[in-house]
Amino acid sequence: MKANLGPLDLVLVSGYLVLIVGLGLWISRGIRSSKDYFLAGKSLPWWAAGFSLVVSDIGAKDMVGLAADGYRFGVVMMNFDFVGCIFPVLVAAFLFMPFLWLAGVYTVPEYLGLRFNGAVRTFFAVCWSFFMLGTLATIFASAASMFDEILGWPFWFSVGITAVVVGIFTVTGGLKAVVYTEVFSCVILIVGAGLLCILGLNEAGGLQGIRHTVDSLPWARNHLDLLPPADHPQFPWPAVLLGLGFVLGPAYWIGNQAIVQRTLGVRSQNEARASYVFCAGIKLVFPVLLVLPGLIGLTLFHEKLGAPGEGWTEGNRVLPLLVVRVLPTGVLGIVIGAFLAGVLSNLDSYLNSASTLLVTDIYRPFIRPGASDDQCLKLGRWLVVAILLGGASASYVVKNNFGSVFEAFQTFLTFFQGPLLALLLLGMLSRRATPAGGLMGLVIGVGLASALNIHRFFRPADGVPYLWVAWWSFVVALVTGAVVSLFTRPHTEERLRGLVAWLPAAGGRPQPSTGDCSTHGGESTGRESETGRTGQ
Amino acid sequence: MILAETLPLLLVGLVLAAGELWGKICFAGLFLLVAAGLAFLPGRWIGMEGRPRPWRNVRYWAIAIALVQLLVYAIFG
Repeated sequence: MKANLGPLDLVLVSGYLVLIVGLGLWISRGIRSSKDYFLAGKSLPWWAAGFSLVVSDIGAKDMVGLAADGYRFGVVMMNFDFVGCIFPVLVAAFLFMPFLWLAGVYTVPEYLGLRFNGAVRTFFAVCWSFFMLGTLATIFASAASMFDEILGWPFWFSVGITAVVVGIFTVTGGLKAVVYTEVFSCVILIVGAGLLCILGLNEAGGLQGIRHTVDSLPWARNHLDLLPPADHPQFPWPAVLLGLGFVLGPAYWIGNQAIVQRTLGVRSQNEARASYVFCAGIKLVFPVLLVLPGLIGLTLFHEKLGAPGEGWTEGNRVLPLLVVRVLPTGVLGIVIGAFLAGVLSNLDSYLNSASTLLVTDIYRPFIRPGASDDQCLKLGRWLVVAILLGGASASYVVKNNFGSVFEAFQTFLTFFQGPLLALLLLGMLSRRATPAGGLMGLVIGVGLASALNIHRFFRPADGVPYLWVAWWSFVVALVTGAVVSLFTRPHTEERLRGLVAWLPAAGGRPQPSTGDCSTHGGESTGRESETGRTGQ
Repeated sequence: MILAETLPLLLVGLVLAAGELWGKICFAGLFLLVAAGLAFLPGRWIGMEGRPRPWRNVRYWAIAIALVQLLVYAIFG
């Protein structure tokens, strides 16, 4: 069954697309330097950064993926926003973000390079680049599955259209265009998702209808448990608390370039804090908006889609089926607009951030240390095109290999998020953490996470749930880093000023960024050689 | 002496009595800890040394959000 788009729907959808592309192009007029392109000239207001943080996190992969996982696992998925987002965002707002803002860096790997060494910086830059490519693939796959069910578009046609639209304003506009279009997208997203929930609940017989269905299906008996029992096969509550709340969530909200970059682009550290708290406030409603469609889908389509099990790949159909079934003309246009908002905002965030990472952490320190600002800006734009094509090509693999796009996204994260958080905590909170300790923690932690993930991929029946993978790789990286640091030599106190929480920069002022192409060869911190090629 | 003997038994009893409530206690406790930390930590530890008006005070907004989360887990956890 395909959606019956009326003239009003078409007007709404095309109006949204024209508005968003026009807004992006209009904002892009002011781009003069790489700082304008990558950090919006440090001119973003807190409210715009806050909205942008929300839709950089919530996008098509979450709308499609959380509806799919809401169908598979139930309300436990709400924890991904409650304890996996709001808790770390509140902690990061007061302890970490103002600190990173003051450090004056462009990227999180850049900070790690300054704090530990160039090897750590490069490793994480490469990890994040691959992760962002994987994430782009999940977003394209989400968009394609939605367009297939709703409009009947073939997979590659959907991917191509999406790539062209998002490419236009991301290539030209940089972070500022991305953030301001995301403000608009966030509002559309909330309205569209809210309408879908209200109309879907009405169709499903309200909450009573959902409860009745859950009670009648043996495989769905834990679907209404926000905290499933400790022996739950996928989401035991201790793993939710430790793996998601203490590792994946904090690592994502403190270490994810696509997230942090918005906050690094605001005017002051107070605004950095305010943007995070504002984001946490908006996020209070999203768990319901994103997971409830999955439960409504369970009520309406459990006979059609069947019980999830090994090799079941119907999950990504839940949201599109629901959209087609419950939305009348007019509302359909708004919800498709909301979905497009999610697709575009997510894609442009990751594109812009991947480009920033590659220019700041790979190109400038290793490939062309003397690059001019203009060269960095041009390369940044070309990289957006290249990454867009790479993500689009990889989307087919994601579509065919994961139960839901959300599972794919979380699995990619677990490979390195635990060790990343361990290094950030060691680096920010302890002056005793050494470059050797950081590197060893990183290698052992990522090695463990990779081994556990590969084992789960080949033997899913007795594999370790990915939340436990995140937790144990974090613990192992933290312990290894701390132990090796005890036996190796740390950086001098002067070298660590402005990089460790207890050691403010000299004169209380932040050090200039080494990632700023425009300052390269100008304001030297004396740290560049240790993070760039010569330090390898 | 009596306290020393009965306290461990009391603790074990509490743990057993809590049973399936442990998840709820841990999650609600986490947000209680965040709210308390934001309320009582000295301003200079979290980079907030001024005294903005209450509705412009980010710290108050953050405490309110943590308390909403505490209620979510206390009621639905």
